[in-house]
Amino acid sequence: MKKILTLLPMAILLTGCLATPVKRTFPEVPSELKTACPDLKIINEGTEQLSKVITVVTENYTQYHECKLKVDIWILWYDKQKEIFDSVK
Amino acid sequence: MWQLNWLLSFIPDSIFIYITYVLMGLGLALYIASKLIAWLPIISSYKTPSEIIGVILLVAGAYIFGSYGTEMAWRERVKELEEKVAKAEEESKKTNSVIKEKIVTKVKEIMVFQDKIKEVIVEKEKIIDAQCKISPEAVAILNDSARGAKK
Repeated sequence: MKKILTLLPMAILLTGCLATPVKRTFPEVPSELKTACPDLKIINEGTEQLSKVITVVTENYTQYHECKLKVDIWILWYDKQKEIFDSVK
Repeated sequence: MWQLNWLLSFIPDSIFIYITYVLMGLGLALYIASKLIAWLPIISSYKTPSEIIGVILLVAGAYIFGSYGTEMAWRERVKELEEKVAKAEEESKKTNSVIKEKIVTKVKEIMVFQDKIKEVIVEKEKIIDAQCKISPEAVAILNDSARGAKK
């Protein structure tokens, strides 16, 4: 009985420790950023012309530029969203 | 106890204080009545229950009355936070649309540039291929390099 009488006021006092019931949702990522980078293109076996090789190499360079852009944008997205998230206090 | 506070959060601000008055008034009235009915033999058996209920209501009313200020301050804080969260979510959506536009524009620029390079290759195909013949070993090395370590 004594324990109950001690614990009861403590329980009442602890009600002051409630967290504020404000729901926050995780920001949505643009769908363009959710696509994975494809594998690099391969030169057809038996190719002897340099122009064909250069074409494939160019396509692979383009692929790299596109993937680099996505990584840069991911960093930008994270920084911006973190800034917005931290502004709510 | 958090359940009590959770339930209290559903009570509208305007009637919150009146509920505490009603609870305390009812508790006090029951407590006084419990003292008076002791003199009436017909209903004197209700003395103890009405005394207990009266005290419980009085204590509950006093507790809620005491927490009124805190409750209102928290509600104000929650409202303020909800407004900030809504504003942040709006800003987040705007940022996303700006980022989306940036990706589309930049990818388009990259593709346009690639097309230009391809056009130049086609244009100068004869010159490029005139003096050079690629060996199968060179192709194999380039392909190995493209495949990377996951071959």
